[in-house]
Amino acid sequence: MASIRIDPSDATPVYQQIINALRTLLVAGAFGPGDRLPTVRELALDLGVHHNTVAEAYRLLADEGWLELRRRHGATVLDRAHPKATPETRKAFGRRLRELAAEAHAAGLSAAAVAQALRDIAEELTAGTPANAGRRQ
Amino acid sequence: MSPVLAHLVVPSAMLLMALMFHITPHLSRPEIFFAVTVAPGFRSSPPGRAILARFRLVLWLNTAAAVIVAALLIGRWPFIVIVGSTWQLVAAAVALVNARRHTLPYAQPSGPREIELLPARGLQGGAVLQLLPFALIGLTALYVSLHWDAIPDRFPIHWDATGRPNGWGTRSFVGVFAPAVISAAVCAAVSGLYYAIAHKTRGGSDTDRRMRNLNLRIVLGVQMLVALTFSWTMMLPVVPGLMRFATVIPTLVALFVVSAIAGGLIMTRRLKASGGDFTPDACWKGGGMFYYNPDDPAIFVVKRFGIGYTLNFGNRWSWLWLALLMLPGLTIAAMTIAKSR
Repeated sequence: MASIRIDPSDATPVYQQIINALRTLLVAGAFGPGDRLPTVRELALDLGVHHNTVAEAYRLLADEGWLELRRRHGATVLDRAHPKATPETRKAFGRRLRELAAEAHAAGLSAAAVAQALRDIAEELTAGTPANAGRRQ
Repeated sequence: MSPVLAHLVVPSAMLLMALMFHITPHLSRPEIFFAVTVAPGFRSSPPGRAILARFRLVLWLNTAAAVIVAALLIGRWPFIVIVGSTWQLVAAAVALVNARRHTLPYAQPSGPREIELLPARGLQGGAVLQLLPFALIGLTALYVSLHWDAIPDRFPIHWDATGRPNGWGTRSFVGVFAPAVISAAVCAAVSGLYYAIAHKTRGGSDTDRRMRNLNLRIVLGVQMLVALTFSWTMMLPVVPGLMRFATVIPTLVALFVVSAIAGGLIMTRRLKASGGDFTPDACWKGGGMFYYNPDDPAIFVVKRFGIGYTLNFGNRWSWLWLALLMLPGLTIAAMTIAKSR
């Protein structure tokens, strides 16, 4: 069962948390092309957040090419072509990853634990892509 | 009401009310105390116990005073019942507000919110089931109109507690079909409530959805009982023999109320053990009895005290539903006043 989790007390804005959670599910193949996500109103109601917060998250995911938004029909998952990563994307990702790894290390995680966590995530992503293993429920 | 009965009933009702307030703080999940999110063991800690003891002391002292005054003076001034009950309610509300104020310094940040992504909504078969009470009213009205000649010129429409008629109707459109109009209006208003619960309550977890379905069944049950009661009343002039079954409807109502309360208690306990209501502490007002959050799209949220739902007064639609729900009652009251003049 696909589920998402947000923490209103977290420093990350709620709309960004929704984007992160949904993107993780989409990357993992929890939803396939043509699947419908809950409408903005339904998701906002279930999470107890303002409509605009969810609408902004859906809009940004649509900008990334994950969703098609149609009035009264909610959000439909698109067959998103895998874009080729540009050198700028790789550079930006490396910088964010380095910052996150430093934060984890400062919080007491060993380099080996950080590396293992990254390997686990990479395996999950690879196993979850529809091209390889079908959809994960 | 006889004086002896009044001396027994009024204090008993007030004591029952106090007992309800007494247990109210226990009808919430462990990390909610006087509508404030606290550490799970807080209620059994010294400050938690002190807050609860102070709340109950104020509640019972005021109840005792209100009961004594009401019992002593009810023979001379019957309106003292209203004064005593209001005194008790205001004292309990003030005690709740104070208990919440004393709990707030121990508030903890509410945890993360996790939901399942499911678009399904409402009780299966709800729309068809909702037509049943209207069908019952309509068919009864049709039957009565087809047997118009069998209706006496004057017939009983209201009875006292002993079953003796104390209200009479006449063979006219209003006299015969008023129960159909009133019950249809009540059922229509309750259908609005059904819609609001089906579409404007949280359904992000299995327990949320079970709670919602239980409430939808209760709403449908209320509609059926209203339709049944008024249809029975409408049929009486045509089939007076139905009076022999006068105890059936109160029995059904009693069974329905007991099962609804039992179901509500079970579901509320499950819901409150399932990880939160996604409502910020700061949005609970009046000692935690009222929820006001303009950012929350929910019209109904699970109460922090007691069982069932309460309105989100920060949502403008809540006020519309409230007005809609009060409309039949106000209409009946206005009609009764107009008739008595």
